[in-house]
Amino acid sequence: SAILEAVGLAALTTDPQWGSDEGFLEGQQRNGIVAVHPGGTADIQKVEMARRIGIGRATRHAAGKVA
Amino acid sequence: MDLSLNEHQRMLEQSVRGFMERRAPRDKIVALQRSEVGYEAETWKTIAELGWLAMLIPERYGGGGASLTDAAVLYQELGRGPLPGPFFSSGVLSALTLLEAGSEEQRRRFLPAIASGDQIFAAAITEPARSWGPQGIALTAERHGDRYRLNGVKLFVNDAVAATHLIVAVRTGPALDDTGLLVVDKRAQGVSARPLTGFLGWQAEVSFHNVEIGAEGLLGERENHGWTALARAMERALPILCAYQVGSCQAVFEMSVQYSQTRIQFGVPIGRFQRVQDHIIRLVNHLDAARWTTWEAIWKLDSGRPAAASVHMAKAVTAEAHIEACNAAHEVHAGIGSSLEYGLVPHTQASRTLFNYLGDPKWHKRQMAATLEW
Repeated sequence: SAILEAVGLAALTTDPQWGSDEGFLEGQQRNGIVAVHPGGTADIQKVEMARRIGIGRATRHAAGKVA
Repeated sequence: MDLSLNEHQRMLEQSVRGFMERRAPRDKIVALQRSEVGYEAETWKTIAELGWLAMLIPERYGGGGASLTDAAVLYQELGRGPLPGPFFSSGVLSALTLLEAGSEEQRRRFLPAIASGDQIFAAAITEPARSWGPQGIALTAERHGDRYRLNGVKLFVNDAVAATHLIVAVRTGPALDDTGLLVVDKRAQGVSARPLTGFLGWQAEVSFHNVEIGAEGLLGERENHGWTALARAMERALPILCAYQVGSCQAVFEMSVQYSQTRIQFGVPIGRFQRVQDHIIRLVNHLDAARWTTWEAIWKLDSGRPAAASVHMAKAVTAEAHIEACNAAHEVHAGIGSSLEYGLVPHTQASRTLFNYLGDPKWHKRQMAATLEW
């Protein structure tokens, strides 16, 4: 939304005249809804990190084994 | 402050919800994303026959003479789709602008056609590299005898491709409020509307090349205070737009809760994870903020109370809430949410498109502060 505030609707169009160069900002806006969960929801990764660090647990959660 | 709906409004709500389930289910909404005009002629005709385009037009002009609350109930249900199309542009914003700015003759000429759906109006206000507000109107209407001539561009005009007529905000003189509103037939020689592609909904560049309009096209036959009249119209139109966005937020909330209950990961529904719950609660907070600021503004307007500050607040809060609600929903849904066919992306696109529409949140917050004399 910061980019939308700064640039307005020009950030959402791929129009060669009114959009950013080669639709860069439009791509960023579109990809933004995908980037929040790279390779799996980031939240699950955080949960796993906490468990393996042993936060709030007596025993650290062991990492998985490579098959 | 009683924000409850009366029996008629509850029936309207159920009626619109049933219409949306039958005529605009998710796959239809997804298909409409690829439409250049955003609507189907048959749906437009049905909605016109139901009187939904005419709700805010007084009965003496062929309308329904309904309250803002009635209209907000309708648009909140349409927002659950979100149903695209020039319904708001024509039936709300343009109709209210004609009521505020037009002469009696102009109202009688244009409003019945809007009410029946025979004509579709859109408002052309914003221009390239110009800010929102009367100072942002630079397109000059050159007076030549009893005609005006337009040369220039309006940008990011909502529903311009679908429209048959445009209400164009023009500059008529050097003073800040030397602004007028011209009704332009889109078929007039020299007018062209070019759709803009990208992650935005139904915006267009409208070009005017030596377009000649008779003086009778100037709303109210006044060459000044056009922005003032537009602002009065927007004070009543903005809460309806907000209601549409509240409906969209409600829909993404329901999608997120349902997904969190059915998506199994690590052996349990993902809704069991606190982090997923956090996203949904964040969504709820934004939804509620949008809902209650919007309905407070509508209540104030319908009950004849000063509402300007509340309207600006509703617009600012709802625009930000809509984006945040969709962001939270994408966090819950992860990959599936990015698929156009799933049905979340149309809401996300709408949230981005409407963020700056009719003024961005920062502008409305400044207006709210000015209204409250802070």
